[in-house]
Amino acid sequence: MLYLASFFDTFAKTAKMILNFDWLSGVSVGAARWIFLSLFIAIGIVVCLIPSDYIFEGVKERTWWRDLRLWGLATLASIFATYYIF
Amino acid sequence: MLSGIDYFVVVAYLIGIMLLGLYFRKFVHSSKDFFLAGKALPFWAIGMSIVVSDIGAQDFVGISGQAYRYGIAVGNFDWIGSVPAMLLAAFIFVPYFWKAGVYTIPEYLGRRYNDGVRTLASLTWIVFFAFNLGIVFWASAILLETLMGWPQWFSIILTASVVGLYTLMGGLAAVVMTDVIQMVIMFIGGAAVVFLGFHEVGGWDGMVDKLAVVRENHQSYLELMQPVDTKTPYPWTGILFGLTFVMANAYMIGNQAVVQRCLAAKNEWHAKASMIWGAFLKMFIPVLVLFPGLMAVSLHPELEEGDMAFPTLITSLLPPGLGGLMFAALLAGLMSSIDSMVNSTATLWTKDVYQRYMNRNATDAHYLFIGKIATVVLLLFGVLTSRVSEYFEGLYVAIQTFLSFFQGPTFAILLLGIFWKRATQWGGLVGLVGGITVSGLLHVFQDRLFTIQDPFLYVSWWSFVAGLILTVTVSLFTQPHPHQRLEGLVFGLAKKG
Repeated sequence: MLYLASFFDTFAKTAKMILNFDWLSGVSVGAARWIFLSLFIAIGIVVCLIPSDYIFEGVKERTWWRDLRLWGLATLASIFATYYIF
Repeated sequence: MLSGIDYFVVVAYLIGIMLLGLYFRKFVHSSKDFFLAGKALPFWAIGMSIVVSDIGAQDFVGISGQAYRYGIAVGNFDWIGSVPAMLLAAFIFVPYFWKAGVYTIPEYLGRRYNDGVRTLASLTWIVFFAFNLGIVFWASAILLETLMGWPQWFSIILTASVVGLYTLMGGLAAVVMTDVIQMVIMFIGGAAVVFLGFHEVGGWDGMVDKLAVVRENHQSYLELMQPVDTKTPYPWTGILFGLTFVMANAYMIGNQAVVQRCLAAKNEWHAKASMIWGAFLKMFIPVLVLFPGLMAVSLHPELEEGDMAFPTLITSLLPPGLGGLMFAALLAGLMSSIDSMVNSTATLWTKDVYQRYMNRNATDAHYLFIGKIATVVLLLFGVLTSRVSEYFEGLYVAIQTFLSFFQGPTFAILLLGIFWKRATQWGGLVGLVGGITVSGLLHVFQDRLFTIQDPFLYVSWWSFVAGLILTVTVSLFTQPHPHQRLEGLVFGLAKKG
């Protein structure tokens, strides 16, 4: 009975640790910031890799300002700057 | 309190918006015109509409209130909590929804999984929007009472009448085009408060100096990243896992009020462009709604309720004329949120519930009529339930708590539905129901399970994980869909013919 109680106690503690992300408490706020910045860079790379035909679907005239990849990169640049500063 | 010129600005705004909305009445001849604006909307209007619909008067009050309590970290919701998700929606999800020719997201889920999933998703959104409507009405009542001294019920009925009239007559086109004007007014009014607030506190440096005097932990006030053991609801782990990976995507990809506008785009390029344009505009929102909260900490550090920060600031800062403009901006934010919810809920009810279960073979004119009736009924429901919001501590947190219940599971089945062709109808249904159940349990036992305040970000992440695991597990044990049924619905499986 005591063994069972001990098992449940350990289980509850482990579950709480996982649910609250305590296992990531060793990651500093500075490192976390770089995780976020890396995410923006990764999305930017993926955006650059999207084929032109897909980007211009529905457009009669392909002009540079209709290239939605550039729109996406401009937006990502502004969010990157925001998270870099704050 | 407002002066004579302020009243003139407010009345001119209300009449102008109503006339503009009513102008679009002449374009509504069918249910497609009413629910999808005849599929003729340009990207710039849709993008502006998405942004202003998402940011209402309750956000001016709620986010400023959260910023007053916890600092700049609440800005994560409009920055990382919107931009990456909107890019994902623009490049992957929206083109698929647009090409599928659906009216609602649950309709897509119904085609991809089964009617059970469609109905559950649709009813969930209907319930959420209906109660959210009450919260928005309540936010308006608090604002109008503070600024004008109006009784709460009078404010609620006035807002409902103006919005109801143009939404009922002009449908989605009226909603989107009035949103465009409302966004411009909201940006001008919000910018005026920020400009005058900075002038009052002595610029950015002055604000930081004052924060250092009135708050012990002033440095964390200006940090977007909060540590894992923070006592605020915004640890970076919650922001990354709960907000960025789940809630933001669920909101921008699975939210009928957002996606319905993109479905009304004139072509696929406009549908994609609208989301990216909206993402760009979203970058400016925290400046308008969050900075006033920080300024209020510097200027009025003694407030008991965070939600009083914004109303207190505008009554103490704005001169005659600008007070009316800001008031119109708040009304704009409020009305744009209400019209979107009402129109989307009417669409969900008519297409996913009424047309599917109650009357399959009626004329188009009949469905148009039902959509209009649903609009009126929903507005009445919102008005009657507005006092529910009184029992929640923070308006914004209350909305997020509602959302976190089903955002995670819905996004899980949408993600698997579009990227994994092996996902089956029963997998989707069990994933959605099971995920919502997990959300409910986590919410009920949150005091025992979580160490942070209001752990809605963690709840949304873990319910997403539960939905994902359940969908995959059940799918692997059930009959897969035939290949031809998935064409045009799953990424990489183009529709033939």
